[in-house]
Amino acid sequence: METQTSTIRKKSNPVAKAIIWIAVALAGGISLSVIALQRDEHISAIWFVVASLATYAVAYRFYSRFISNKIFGLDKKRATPAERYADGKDYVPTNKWVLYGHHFAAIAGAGPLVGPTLAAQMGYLPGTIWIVAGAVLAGCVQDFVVLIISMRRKGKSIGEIAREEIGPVGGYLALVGVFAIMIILIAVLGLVVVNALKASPWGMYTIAMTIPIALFMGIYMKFLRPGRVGEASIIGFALLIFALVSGQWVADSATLAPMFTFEGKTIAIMMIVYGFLASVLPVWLLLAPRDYLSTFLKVGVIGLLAVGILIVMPEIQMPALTKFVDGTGPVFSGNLFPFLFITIACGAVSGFHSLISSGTTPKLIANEKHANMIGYGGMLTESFVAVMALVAATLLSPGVYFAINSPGAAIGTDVSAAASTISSWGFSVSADEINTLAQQVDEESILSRTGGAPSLAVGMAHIFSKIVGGPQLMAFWYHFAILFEAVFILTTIDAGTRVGRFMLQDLLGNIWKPIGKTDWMPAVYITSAIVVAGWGYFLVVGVTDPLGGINTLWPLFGITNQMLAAIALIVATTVIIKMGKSKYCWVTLAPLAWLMIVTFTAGWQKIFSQLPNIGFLKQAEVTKQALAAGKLPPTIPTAEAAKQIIFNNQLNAVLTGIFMLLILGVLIDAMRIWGKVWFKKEELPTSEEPFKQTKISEVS
Amino acid sequence: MNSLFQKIRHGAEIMRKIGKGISNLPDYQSYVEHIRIHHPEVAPPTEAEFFKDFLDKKYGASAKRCC
Repeated sequence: METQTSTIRKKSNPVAKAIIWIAVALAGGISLSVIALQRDEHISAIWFVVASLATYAVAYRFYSRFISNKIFGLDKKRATPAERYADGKDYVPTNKWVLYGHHFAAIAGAGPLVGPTLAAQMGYLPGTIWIVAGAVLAGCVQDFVVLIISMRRKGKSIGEIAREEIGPVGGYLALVGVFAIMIILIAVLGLVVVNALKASPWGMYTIAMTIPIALFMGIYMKFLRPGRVGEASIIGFALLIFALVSGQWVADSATLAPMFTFEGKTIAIMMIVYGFLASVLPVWLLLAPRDYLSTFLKVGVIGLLAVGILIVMPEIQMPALTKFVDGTGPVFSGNLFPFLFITIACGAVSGFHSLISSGTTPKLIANEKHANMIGYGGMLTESFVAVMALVAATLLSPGVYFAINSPGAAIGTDVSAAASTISSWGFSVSADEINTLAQQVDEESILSRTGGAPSLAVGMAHIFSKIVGGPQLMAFWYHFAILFEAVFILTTIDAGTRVGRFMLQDLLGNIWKPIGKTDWMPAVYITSAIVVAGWGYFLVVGVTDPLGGINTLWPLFGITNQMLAAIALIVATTVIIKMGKSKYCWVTLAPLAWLMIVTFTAGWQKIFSQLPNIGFLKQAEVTKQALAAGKLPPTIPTAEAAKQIIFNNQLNAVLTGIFMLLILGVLIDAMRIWGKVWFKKEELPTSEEPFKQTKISEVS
Repeated sequence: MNSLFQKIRHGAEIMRKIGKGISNLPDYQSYVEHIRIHHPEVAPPTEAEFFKDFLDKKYGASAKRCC
């Protein structure tokens, strides 16, 4: 129906269409030049919005159609799995807008919010360019192509497709990779939450309240009104807002506030216990209700942020480039190349999306032609979220940004000393400014609240309080933003632990059968404990790390996430080559090559760099020497801590090395297949399902 | 008056469907419909059973999670 009208329009007025697209392209080009060339004055956030949206529109209209028409020949007459295997449950033809919403909610997480916030230390320009260009040329392509490939194969997972199209070795390595990445991901996201909640009674109380709220919702949906998710979510949301408002009373109360004030390590241990419980308790009680609440909150707040930026049109305070492009920045270590591309991660290209694109979405898609909007368009939306996060980080005055995001090791713990250190970098800020902001958001201190969540929350509070409430409501909006981030990070942590437990049971079940039984409680407890211990270890290490934890863990996460994307692109390239479309294989091969260069350079530097703040081995060596000489820096208080740091850095180096070998293994295995097609001219069968005419005319 | 009420009900129904779709919740009514048309010999599950199966599946071994 829709395609019909558009062809009629095209026939009737091609000139008008051409003019519109030229105008869109011009708007994008002009905005991009403003962003790139403006140097002396602060520029308005509106340029970022126009530049990114115009680029997205052109890429969506032309590049995504190029991919769907030239390579895959998407056909609206070809039945999708949702129709072929319709069962009313897993395979259901779904309205394309609704499915787009589902797909976006499933791919969007904390990644696109945290990454750009950290990347802002190099200025707004490099981050913006990579978020937009990376999404259009790499991230969207990955999501879209994997969705198509899975849609043509009964909605199979990327692991299964790897096994079928490459071979058992590649498939197995891909599986191990996914498990390892999950552990790192949970640890680093846990660290983001810990840093946002430590010494913050308001935040801690509100987040703690989400647990009884979720339990209540679970009981409501199970016993009181079975399956009434909408009602339960509305009640849950109301209770959540009450928890948020009453959080201020807690924070202002002399008796209650200390009860909710904890050190980072204590919060980390609480989260580990919580993760374990979520993994062993029935899902209807805790996990499922949290998930609903989180989905609606996520979509709602992201929409609100977009509207907020459009109304307020804040000015960007951060310069286009800071001196930290040379790799000396306090927020994350390493040069622009390759570490900016590692840091931004999910906002530009995210390997995790390949799991969603080959998970539920391909089983729900009603028409092949919807794949452009859902696969390519879904990632464009996530990229836009990343642009908004960058705007929220750069609208803060740079001095304040660095006060929040620099670890204690770089700026110390005293406000005036920190202010003068940051000012000496060329970003003038006064102790007064820092203290006032802390008061405004009702926090004891905003110094060194690393991890991205607090600084994003300050940025969001700036925007929202300009629309509703003014400075009086700054504190409310700040904690609203923290709540929003923490709720969906915790949803990733609890569900991720559970998924990790199942994967482990599956892996270990091959060795000893009983451990694989998901209804045998000892097996459930043991495997849950192993998974929790895995990420819990990295979390506690991160919390106690004198360099700030995020500094070490985020790059590790970025590298693994981009490597997972590389695996997805290797699979996609293999399929395209086997389909006989080698002349278009650059569509996935080019982003793959770029990701391989970036992740291998970053991985190599993380292991072998001679700079202790970058190279894991060098850091271990430097600490070892200091320990032997009895000259430990003040950030490392005891010999015990020093030994821990030495071991952690060696472990991280080994892990990074293993990840690199893993990807290399998959790549070599896939190149074996490419060689067969290219040099031996073999025609290899793909596992694509044969054409079948659709009977669906329209999906409501 | 009556028609306004119906419009609101209809709107609420659409909102409910969208909400369910976004959180990937299966619709019990359409499942029963599917069973009735395609597998008339099978007795459809109760609504509670239907949701229990769904939850087991969604958070079971094949569940996926994102960053």
